Amino acid sequence: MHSNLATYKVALFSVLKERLGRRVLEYQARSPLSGRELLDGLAARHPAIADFRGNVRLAVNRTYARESESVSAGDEIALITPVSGG
Amino acid sequence: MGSEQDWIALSRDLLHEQDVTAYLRHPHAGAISVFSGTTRQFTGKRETERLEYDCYQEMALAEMRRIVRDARSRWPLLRVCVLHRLGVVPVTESSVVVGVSSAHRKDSFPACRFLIDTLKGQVPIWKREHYADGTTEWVGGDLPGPD
Repeated sequence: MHSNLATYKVALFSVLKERLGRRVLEYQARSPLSGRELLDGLAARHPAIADFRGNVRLAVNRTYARESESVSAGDEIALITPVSGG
Repeated sequence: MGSEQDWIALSRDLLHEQDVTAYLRHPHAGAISVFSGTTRQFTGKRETERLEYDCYQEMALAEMRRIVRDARSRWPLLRVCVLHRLGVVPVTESSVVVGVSSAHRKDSFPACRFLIDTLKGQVPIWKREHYADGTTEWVGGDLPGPD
């Protein structure tokens, strides 16, 4: 089954980058997944992401995505916690 | 209206409002509106020494361009400027400067307000407070929506 797993690269910023101590997370799973499956999987593995599970948005290819949308391992993926620019 | 009429940028350097105003001047303009967001020393009783900004730069620029397109579709604008500073921004300095020029102020005021309000809610930029007592805190604002 491992031959069917792909590697997702997930960019982190601000509080998640700080709490996980890295800019990019790698996550092995089948591809594609729904956004919800990806976020649930990341939250199960990382308590810091679990803390934000109800308050995080997925960005896929530089666009905010619904959790029902599908995401592939080759996509540009980022976790977006509540923004506070300005 | 071509994109040469828009100045959209992220910068680690000091933002100068007079450069923005100069850019927005246009022979057909009867109004220029500019908003600057500056680092405030006190929030209630807490004293801030500086702010620090993190940013998803490629997406932030894409979102800033999208917001400018939305503003142009809603108001007849001549020139539009959206600048955000990254890194450390000390008290009194500007972290964000947005502005527009238009024929009349009835369009420049709401467009300028739309730019800053939408930027704050949608663009992937995050501020961290560095308080005078040495503590720090990532500020949680709005969760941006996919719509």
